[in-house]
Amino acid sequence: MSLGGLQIPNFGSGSFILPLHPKQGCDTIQALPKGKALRHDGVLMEFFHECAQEVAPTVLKAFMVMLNSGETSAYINKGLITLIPKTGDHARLSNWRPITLLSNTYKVLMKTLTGRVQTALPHIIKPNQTGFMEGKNILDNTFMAQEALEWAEESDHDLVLLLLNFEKAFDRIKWGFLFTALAKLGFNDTWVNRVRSLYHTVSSTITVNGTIRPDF
Amino acid sequence: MRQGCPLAPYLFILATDVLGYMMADPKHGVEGLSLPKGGLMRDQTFADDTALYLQGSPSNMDKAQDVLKLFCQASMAKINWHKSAAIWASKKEKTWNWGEDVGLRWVPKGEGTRYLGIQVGFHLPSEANFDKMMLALKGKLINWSQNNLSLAGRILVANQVLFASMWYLATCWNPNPRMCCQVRRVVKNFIWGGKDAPARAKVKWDMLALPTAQGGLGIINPKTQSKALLAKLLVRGLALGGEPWKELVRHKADQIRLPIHGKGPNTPDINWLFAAPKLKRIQCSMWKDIVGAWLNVRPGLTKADLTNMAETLKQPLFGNPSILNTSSTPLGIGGLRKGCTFARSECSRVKNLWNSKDNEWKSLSKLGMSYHASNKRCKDVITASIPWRPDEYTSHIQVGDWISNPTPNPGTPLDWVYFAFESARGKANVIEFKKIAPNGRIQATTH
Repeated sequence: MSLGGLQIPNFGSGSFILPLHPKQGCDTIQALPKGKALRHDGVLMEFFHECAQEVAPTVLKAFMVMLNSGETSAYINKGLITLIPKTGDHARLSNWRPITLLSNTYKVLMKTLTGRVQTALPHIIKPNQTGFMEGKNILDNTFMAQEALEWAEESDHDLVLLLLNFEKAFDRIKWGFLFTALAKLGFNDTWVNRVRSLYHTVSSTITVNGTIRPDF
Repeated sequence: MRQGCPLAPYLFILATDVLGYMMADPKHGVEGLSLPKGGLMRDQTFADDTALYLQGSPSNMDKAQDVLKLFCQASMAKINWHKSAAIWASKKEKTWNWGEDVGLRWVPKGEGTRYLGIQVGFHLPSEANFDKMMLALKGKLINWSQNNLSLAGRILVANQVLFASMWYLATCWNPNPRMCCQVRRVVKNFIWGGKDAPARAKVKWDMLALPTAQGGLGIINPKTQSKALLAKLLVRGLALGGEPWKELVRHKADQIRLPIHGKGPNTPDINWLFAAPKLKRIQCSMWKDIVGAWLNVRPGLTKADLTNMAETLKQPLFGNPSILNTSSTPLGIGGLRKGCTFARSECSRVKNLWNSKDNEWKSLSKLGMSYHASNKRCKDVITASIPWRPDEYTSHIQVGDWISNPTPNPGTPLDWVYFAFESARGKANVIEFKKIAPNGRIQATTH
């Protein structure tokens, strides 16, 4: 890993590993959307919404056990891959878009973790990243590109605007790199390990014509 | 990365953020674009769409490529050079070649390339984006006109589907009237069910564009909407924050004398936009459009129905239709000599005049203004109350040396706030802060 000499402002994330509060659980559940397809465990988000008060403390307790022991239930962690047709010849696999359906329980768990990361993001992420960030907009990029070209000419700069295309960026990023980066950015070791263990037990299965295939 | 996981996008941007830090690392010495107010732009990312703003020299390009190589090596990311593009922007011609070996495409002057769904290019004609959008619109039209939809259904499709491609574009690009017309014609044809031959409209377009409550069909008017979207860009651009794109907006705003002086270069107040701008002639057509759009939309942005004190305090002082001067026009900064003094001391909202601790209007000295005590010519009055809470009548105050108190009947709520300014001719010039009452109605002037 070649991040050795890189200077990144260190950010403390001790609060990330504090126990989750039941109220957080309720808030998280309210923030998750209803009306989604049925998952493999059969628990709908509507159920969580209706019973948030009753369910949240128990669910969070289970989560804490899972997080602390580093052992995640493979059942919760299972993803169901479904293929969605794109345009074009459907005999070709490349014209199908795979989407992964994750159980709602897993989503509640991950969303509680996400909430904590989100509060820290503005301190870490450089303002140049506009995706997934609150208060930022895709237009910041398109407008900047247009105006920068004009500004370069006006101010007598020589500018090369290089628009890069990363190949399947989302799938290619290596886990090792991510965890090194997280540690570099000052994320708490315990927290990084928890995320690692959550992702470690991931299993997936594919549905073909409505039948669920064995795990892989 | 796991698709569908709520945490995954954040982990992803945390990982790609490393590239930004690597680019900024002085060790690598990658030079970016210097911005008008001293900022520097090197890279910008939207999820995985990365744009690099590089100083244009082969050696600098090599340095940037080295950093990219390093990043790809560490993260396993791979750059698809064939699908990447480079744009040269300068007064000079490019005299060197770079990137042929990896298959990088250089976009020639006057042509565009697709970046986040918008055509970007050096000296790109405005039609380039429009033509692409029309193509997309017509493609959607073919799909939708095959379904037999009801009129309400067609309106829904027009608003939600057909116009959608235009709105995205219009947020940073202004269609000219001819283009708006063209879009309108196509949509009109769809609404009235014309398949091949142009359909005859059964109701006037302006009627269609009225909200449903007023008897229209709530169709969005492309011209109005694109104006509103452009105005939004200006508001966002002048809001707080030091992002590079805002720096370019502010630079342009300075050039055309939009009054946006704040305390520092990075802290202008949106409220400034309410001040009637004194515009220098704008050369660039895009900016003419943006400012024009803003002037169009501005009056509608102040709230007419004030229901509580907090809302009233948030109201802008300048350009506010609820606050009129003696000639029944909203206060503008440009036409008012002392208005600039107000503005410079960051007094631009009603709340800046109000001392919430003592529940009274601030004195001029507190506002940071210095008026000469000897100037007694201005004998006009400032009296104040809190019209939105008549029961809690507060004592009126003297503001500075030049404003006296006319002893109103104690206990009677006053609806007016008077401010006196020295006019250019040295004659007292009364500016009324007209009643900002809960019902928002403006009453006749009495002075």
